[in-house]
Amino acid sequence: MRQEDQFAIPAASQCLIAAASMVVPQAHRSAWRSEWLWEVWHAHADLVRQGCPPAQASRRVVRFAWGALRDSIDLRVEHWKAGVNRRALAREPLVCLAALLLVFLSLWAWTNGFHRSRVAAAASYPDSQQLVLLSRPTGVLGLESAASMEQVWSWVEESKWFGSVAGFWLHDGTLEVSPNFFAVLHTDPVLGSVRWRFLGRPVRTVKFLAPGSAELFGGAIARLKERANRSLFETQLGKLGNDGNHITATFLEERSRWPLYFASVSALVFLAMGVVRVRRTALYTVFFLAKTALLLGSVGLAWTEVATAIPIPITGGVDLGTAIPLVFLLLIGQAFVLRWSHQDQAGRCPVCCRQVAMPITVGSRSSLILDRPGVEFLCTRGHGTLRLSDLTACTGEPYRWTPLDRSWQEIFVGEKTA
Amino acid sequence: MKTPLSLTSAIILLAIANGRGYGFEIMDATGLPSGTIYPALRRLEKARLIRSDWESTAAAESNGPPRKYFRVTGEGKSALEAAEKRFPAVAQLKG
Repeated sequence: MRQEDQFAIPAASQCLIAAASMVVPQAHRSAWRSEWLWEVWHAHADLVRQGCPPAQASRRVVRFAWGALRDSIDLRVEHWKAGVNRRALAREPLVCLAALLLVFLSLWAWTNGFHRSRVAAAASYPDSQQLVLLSRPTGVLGLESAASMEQVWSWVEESKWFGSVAGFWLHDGTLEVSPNFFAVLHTDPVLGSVRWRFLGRPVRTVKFLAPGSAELFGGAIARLKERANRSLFETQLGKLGNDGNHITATFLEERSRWPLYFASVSALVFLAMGVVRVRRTALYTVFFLAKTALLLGSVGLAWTEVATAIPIPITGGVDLGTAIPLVFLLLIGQAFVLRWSHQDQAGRCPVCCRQVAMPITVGSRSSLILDRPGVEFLCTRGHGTLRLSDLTACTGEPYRWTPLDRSWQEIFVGEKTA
Repeated sequence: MKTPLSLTSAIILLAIANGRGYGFEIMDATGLPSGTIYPALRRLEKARLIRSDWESTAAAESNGPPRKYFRVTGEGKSALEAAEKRFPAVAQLKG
């Protein structure tokens, strides 16, 4: 039997070392791996020579090889500390994602875990799945017109679905309600608490209106009859209404979540617009999606925090001066981050997602057809060049990627200045 | 001024000074896991407290792949003396 066969390295140890070697910087990987494999070979040989049973020797050697993992991490950290080039590090896609994650977590900490968004999203009333909000929209910016109690009752009489109904008017932290309002809501208000909200707005005082008074209500809440079929009711929502006025009926639990829906839908629309434009590798697309989702998520949630603090639009009156700027703030914020995300993506290598670097001027201003002037960037791992034309025409892309063959990549292995 | 040795590094340095020449042997002598020994050896070598040499080719051919042997340098001996003053337990181990 050959010595190599007698002291062969256990397969588990080989796998461990191979896995650990992936962590080691590429420039040192081969030497590090050989060194560890030889060490393991010797450790195994020493144990066998000392008379250790083969199975036990193999187990000990596997434990020994676990050290390779820690050694590889140590070497990687050491390499970062010694040769870290901040500019090169900033080009790494993981650094970009980590920075965005940090922004998201900072927002999370700042907003106390997106507290307001969660309060707005939660259905805070008992049996809220049976509660319906009735209102008369004017069709302009979600504005709702007032209705008298008689009108409210007529809505109920007209429909076979509702068991009880109560009117309300919400303005400036005051909730004016019909006497049966809290009986319909199945709860009592906890006034002064930031957690007690109605339609996303904190309620400080409650004023009961006498039955039969001539007061107008901004809307009404109704509770579906116990046996009412919710899905059937949903299909007939649009058929409510009398005297030619359209009445909207939405489930209260859904109504209370509107800021989240609005933020989420607009974020998804922007995201979809971006995905359509990305036509590169899977890694490139995944990186773009992750980056943009983090950005849009941060903007959407931060906006929801603000919007729930200053709620818009809401039954009982809309402050247009607040509502319009807030809606635009979200749209502009999302458009801004999406544009940044696109620009950042356009300046990245489609193979490794690192930002391209080393710009040089190329082309000639006297040759606008065959050799257009522009700036050419290089992937710091030698995957290709990205040419950014100074002059854009309908026939050419502003960014042109030219892949390089594998021989270029060897030049950049272990390059720290890149 | 150089950073003083940690207790672990001092024990490893002492093991090498006592003639334990290679990684597995040092591990056996100190009882420390391989994940502690090898990074420490690399740091000690970088700090020039130890030196490593590969086994000669002839010896390697007869004993399998080459093996890396460590020995303490002059600077390493001074550092070990300082560590013995700092950690009486190390001095006791030496004795």
